[in-house]
Amino acid sequence: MASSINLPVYQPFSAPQKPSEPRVGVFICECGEQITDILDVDSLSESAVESDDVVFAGHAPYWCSADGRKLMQEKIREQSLNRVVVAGCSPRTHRGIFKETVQEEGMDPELCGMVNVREGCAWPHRLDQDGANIRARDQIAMEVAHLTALTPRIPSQAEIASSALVIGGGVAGMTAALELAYAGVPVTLVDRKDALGGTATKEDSELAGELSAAVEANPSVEVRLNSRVTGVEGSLGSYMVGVQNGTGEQPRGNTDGPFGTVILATGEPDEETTHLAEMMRLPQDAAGYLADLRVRLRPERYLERGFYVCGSAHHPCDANMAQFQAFSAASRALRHMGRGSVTLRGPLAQVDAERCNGCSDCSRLCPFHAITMVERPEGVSLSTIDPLLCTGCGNCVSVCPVEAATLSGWSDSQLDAQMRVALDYQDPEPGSMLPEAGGLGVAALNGDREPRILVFACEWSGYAAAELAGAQKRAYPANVRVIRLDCSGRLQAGLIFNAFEMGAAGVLVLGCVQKLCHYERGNERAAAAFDQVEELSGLLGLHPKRLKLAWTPPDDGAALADMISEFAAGVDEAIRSIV
Amino acid sequence: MIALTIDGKEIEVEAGRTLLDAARENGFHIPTLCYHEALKPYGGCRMCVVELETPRGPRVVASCTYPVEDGAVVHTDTDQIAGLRKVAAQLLLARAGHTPFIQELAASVGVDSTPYTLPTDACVLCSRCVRACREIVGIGAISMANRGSDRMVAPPFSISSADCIECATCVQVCPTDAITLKHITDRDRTVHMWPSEFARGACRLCEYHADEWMDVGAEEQTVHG
Repeated sequence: MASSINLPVYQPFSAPQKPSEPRVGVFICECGEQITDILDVDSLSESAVESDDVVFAGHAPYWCSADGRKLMQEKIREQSLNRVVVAGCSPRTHRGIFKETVQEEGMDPELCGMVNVREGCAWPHRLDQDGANIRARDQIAMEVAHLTALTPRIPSQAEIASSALVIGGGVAGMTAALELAYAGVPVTLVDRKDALGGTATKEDSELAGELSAAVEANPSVEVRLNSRVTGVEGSLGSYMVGVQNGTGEQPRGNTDGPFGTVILATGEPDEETTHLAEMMRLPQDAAGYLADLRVRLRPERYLERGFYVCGSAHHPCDANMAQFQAFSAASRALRHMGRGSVTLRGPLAQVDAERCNGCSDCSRLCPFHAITMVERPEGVSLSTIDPLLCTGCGNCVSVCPVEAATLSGWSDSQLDAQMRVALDYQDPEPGSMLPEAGGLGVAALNGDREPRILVFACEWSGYAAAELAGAQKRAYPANVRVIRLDCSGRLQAGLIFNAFEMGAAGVLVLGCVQKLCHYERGNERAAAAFDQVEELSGLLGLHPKRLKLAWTPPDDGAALADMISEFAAGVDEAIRSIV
Repeated sequence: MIALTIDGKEIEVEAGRTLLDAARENGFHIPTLCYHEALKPYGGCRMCVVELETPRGPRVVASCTYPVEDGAVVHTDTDQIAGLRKVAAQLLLARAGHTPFIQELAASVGVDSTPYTLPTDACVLCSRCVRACREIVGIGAISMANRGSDRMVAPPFSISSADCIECATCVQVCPTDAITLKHITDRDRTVHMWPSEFARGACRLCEYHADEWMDVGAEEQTVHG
């Protein structure tokens, strides 16, 4: 069985630290005067303080200004705040500023959240001021609940070793090795043949000759001919590579490393390429060419693995193109190694060792190959998540049949807490047959409570489109409550059912367009969860117009506003038809 | 603390602030276009110009980039300033007068028509998208390219960007809705390799969804490269 990247030691899941008593500060931004003509910031501050955990709420013209940030830091000190919610404009543009602000004051930046009350509430609902204010009040309270229920993860540290392994001694491999060596990085260059040069044609033999002379003369490059890579282990930034030396009857193997980066310049694909690709979990196309994984995630949340492909292993090319790619690969490798020590924060999935039943659904599903099944002496293998590779998409949480996987940052309790606020849900009186505001149809008709639509919006699709719709001042109904997710794949069918039980009139799930999920296949996961709900909805008497799944491009605000309006109208119709 | 005077009012601000910050925090209204609170100032649109008194007469500076100085005397609304803002607004109207944002901006400085004629383009080269991608997102998939009247916002070599993460932050900060993701990661990519031209099939996401290349016409060659 091919070696794979896994943690050397199986680490049992330890119960997270109970969070210290939350002391939340809510900072409402007036954005100059852009929202004060619609939102009543005094009233919002007063409502915010009503939450048990909120010890301070205040508003200011520009919390993001230098003066505003200073004042925020003063308040954090003064009130010993350990969680901050900023209600203002877009987290997608401003969260970095506020996270930095709280971090300077010694607070964990993960405990700083933002709510968009401008593009999110004020602007799209400018014609429904009451609705805008109620929605803003609720969205703020939802974020407070979200942060209060958050148990922050311990940041992960990675050391990227400044040393490189180059597999393949052709034109591409030699060029990359030399570039790295010139930059002061020690390189081990491995080739399965007994001479450097790869498949350089006669035309390029002069170039190949020059390169191999330079490589042999360079003290920083260690050349291992007649050698093959047999395994790549260790963790990100510190790979230990098994190299088998020599042909014939007695091949000697040893382990080299730690390497910070591995450059693959293995030439036109063959079975050994496939073997290597499986070993290192690199994608191959139909013809066997290797590709770098194209990742569409924010740099602060995702750490590249340090594997780079160049030359005809990547696609057919001549010597010129191979060199060009080698320069590119070497420069990316240098940038990666130049990071030195890296700290990763953000949502992180973890597995409860006691609950895990070894089914390995998560491991097969994880798009970033962050999960491996580690054998346990007492029976079923344990799903083990590498914190350096986990991107916090939550797909594993959604698929786990025994709720062993949890995601700090988007845990079930955080989502539950947000939903309760969004839908104004109170637990039923003990002993009552039906929940006070429960039932899949009953709640929505409850007296003068306005029907509420819960929107699960993935940050990359629906949430972005909703902010854009607001920025473009496009109107849609104010009875929506948006829960922002990193990936729609986080959703389980159970969560959607919970929403209806808590009294949601409608549930709208917004995910990325087909094949464009930033976490590879999260939207397919969302579709699967949604299908489960849809199938059962008939049995449960849930009118089909009350739920919808929409693939939403992030840059079409008009389409989203229209779609929400249409959905809300359908929900209204559906609810009336129940009576 | 720095003491300065804006429109006759004496104010105190901390060192390191810009004239624009100082003015806005003290209730003075200065129009801006390329300024965005989450981005480093660019000083490109010239709407925020103010007059600084100097021994050799008034000096016009972009308030978004000019740091506060002790004893500075600033005027935000003189005839000269009004005239400069008017010209800037008229030029903007000529280029992007079809966009609501530019119409409103021009109206805010008393301009509703323009004597100039320019090719219509919603993009006013304010560089908010470029700065957002670099400073907020940390990637820099797009930049300003070319100079003079050829200046435009583009990914490197105007080829579909491999670095863009399609977060649409650029789309969000664009004041005139000029940029969409299509401009950065369009589906087709043409790679010029002398002497042939190969048109790539759909490779928007990643290099290895080979099954997506299948619908290309017989005339085109799909070469992975």
